[in-house]
Amino acid sequence: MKKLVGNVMLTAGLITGAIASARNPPLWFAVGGALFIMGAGIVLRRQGEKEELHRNITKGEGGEVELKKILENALTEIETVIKEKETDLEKARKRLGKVLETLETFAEKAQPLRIKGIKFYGEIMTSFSKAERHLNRAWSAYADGYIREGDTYLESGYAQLRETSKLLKSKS
Amino acid sequence: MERYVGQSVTKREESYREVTPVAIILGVLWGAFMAASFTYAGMIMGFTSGGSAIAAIVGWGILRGLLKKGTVVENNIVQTIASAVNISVSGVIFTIPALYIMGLHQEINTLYFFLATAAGAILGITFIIPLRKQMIEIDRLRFPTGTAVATILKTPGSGIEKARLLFFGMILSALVYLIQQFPLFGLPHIIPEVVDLGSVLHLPEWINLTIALSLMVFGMGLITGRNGLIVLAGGILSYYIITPVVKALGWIPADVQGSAISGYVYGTMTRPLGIGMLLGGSIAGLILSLPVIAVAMKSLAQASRVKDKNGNSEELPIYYLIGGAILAFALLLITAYKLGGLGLGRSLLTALIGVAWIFIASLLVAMSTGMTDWSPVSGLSLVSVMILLYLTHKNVPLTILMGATVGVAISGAADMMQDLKTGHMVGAIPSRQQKVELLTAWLGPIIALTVVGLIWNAYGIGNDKVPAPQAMALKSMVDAVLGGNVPIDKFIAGGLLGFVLSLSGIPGLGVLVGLSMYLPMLYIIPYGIGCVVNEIAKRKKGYEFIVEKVLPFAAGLMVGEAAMTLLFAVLTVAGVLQP
Repeated sequence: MKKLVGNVMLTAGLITGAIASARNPPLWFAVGGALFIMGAGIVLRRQGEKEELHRNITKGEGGEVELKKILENALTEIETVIKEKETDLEKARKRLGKVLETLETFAEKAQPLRIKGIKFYGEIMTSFSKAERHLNRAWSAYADGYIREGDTYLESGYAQLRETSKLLKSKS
Repeated sequence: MERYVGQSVTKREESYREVTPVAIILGVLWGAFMAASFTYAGMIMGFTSGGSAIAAIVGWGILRGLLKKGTVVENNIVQTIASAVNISVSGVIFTIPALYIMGLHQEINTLYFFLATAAGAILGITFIIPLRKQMIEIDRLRFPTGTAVATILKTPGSGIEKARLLFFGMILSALVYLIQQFPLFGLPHIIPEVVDLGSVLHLPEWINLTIALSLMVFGMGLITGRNGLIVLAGGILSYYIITPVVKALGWIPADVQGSAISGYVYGTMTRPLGIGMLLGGSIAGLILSLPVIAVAMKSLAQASRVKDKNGNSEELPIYYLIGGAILAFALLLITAYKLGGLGLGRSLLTALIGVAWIFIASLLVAMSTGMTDWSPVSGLSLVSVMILLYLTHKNVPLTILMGATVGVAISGAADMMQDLKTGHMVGAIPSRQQKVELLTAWLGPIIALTVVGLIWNAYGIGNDKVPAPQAMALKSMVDAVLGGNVPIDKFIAGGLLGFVLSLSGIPGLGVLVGLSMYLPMLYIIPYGIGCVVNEIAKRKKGYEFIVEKVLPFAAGLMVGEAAMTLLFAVLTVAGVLQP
């Protein structure tokens, strides 16, 4: 509810402020009022977002619980890729492609972590993105037929993803 | 193992081909060809294009089709170099021809033109080194063109279905563009380039509801998704809320009537407001991102110490950034001191503010392209010109020369970031991409400046044959600043609104809303429709459907029209078409 009210105030403030600013010269008093409404809206919005995140975490959905689950599933899938590539490289590469798609979901779902601190979010995403880039390189190398290169980066991508998982657990 | 188109042998022991002589030569040659074509076409028709996607397709054609080798990451190097060489065109043609038009080009030695623009190309790249981590890895910006190019690069290994969708999109978009250009060949006008939906719906003349029938712009929206919905909302606020309210309140001069009302509100109210919001939003974004940038810097410093088995590091060391900043400062100081006769104190101030501005403007352009694919270069050039004119005591030649440095730097920064996004998606090593760009990007301004000089000698500039619309726009800006007609109050009001919006917790909100007020509605609608379609498809069919079906099709839509614009540029250069 707080988030909704905050969003409404932010939008109303923006519309009022933009109209008042459009006049030649701007109506500075109205612009000031609009900025105040926007500021109040932002405070409510941020509070609401924090509460929503905590509610989701206690219910076991969204937030870090879901993120950990996505990472664990991805790690299990990569372990299958590592085994599978010895017998059927093409099937393994397709599986890796699917893992990369689920990792996109991780990146999207991780956005609310910003609420817990931008530094924390930055550390998680730096580690995660390195893993993702290495796995992308493994995919490309396998697609080009460079097996050794693919193996090297599959292993390092897997190791980096484990690091991300550890980091997430240690910070939560 | 299953074979894909162009895949030759399984190379179990060879080292992975990435930065190769073939990739460098091909990238430089193709980039130079595009730079020359787009310089000429840009001065006649007013448009340029990055050309990354076309370079990727040409790369596949030559690396796999002719040479029977080539890898995903090697072709990524081809497109990285080609677009780096080509991209500076917009920075050059927006600024330097204005000097010719004003008859001031002889006041500056040609060598300074080359040095200032080439340095701009290098600065744009060095300044975004720490921002790669922040924008691509941490903020996860979409970079639609970068995503589309990655889709093209991955197509040979992605299976036949994705390739089919990509080619279908390409052919459809190229065909529609070709049919739209029929009048140039003396053929009937079957599909128009724009549709005035407002008059079809009998809306009042002052409601701007003209839509560009551009599948490329629709494709950009399809790739962007949710972020673009904010641009659409901002466009609605600007054109369908502010304009009617302003009209109803009687804030428009009485002599502005009918369809001119929309243009008046856009030109004197919402556009400068949008530029202010862009600036305020990006400054707030920069402040909020400082902790992340600190993390990125720390991570960069650590990563540059970690070497692979060949002794190479994945990240370019941080001293490249420091070196770039020092080079920028020295260059601007020498230019201001030697050419402007400003005295040491004023020259130092100009150089300091210039460096800070290049950094902020590079960040802003990279953020805008990252979130939406739109690049507000012309608006930023207005602000650059305004700042520089004041700093240089209204020395126009010096201002335009330094404006060219800024223009080339910021367009280069945006292009580098798009290329690095592509690189991330195909698993390229960032330091390799950054190094090849640093080594080749300076070639673009030299090519563009040479073509501008040749055109000046052959036809003149700023006439019916070579109208140079972007340079004429810059000349108008300079005249407006010299005449004291700069809407500074709008910039300040917009800046405050943009600043507060960016504190909302929605990443880049101030920049997105500012961009939507700055862009013409003509393109916002098809772009917004693309974003809406993406969002609906994601909700109904899931994220997998977006990756498997929507992305390759949208990439095709973007590439088809871009390829046709290059073709038309070449036909114009060859004299086949008379625009």
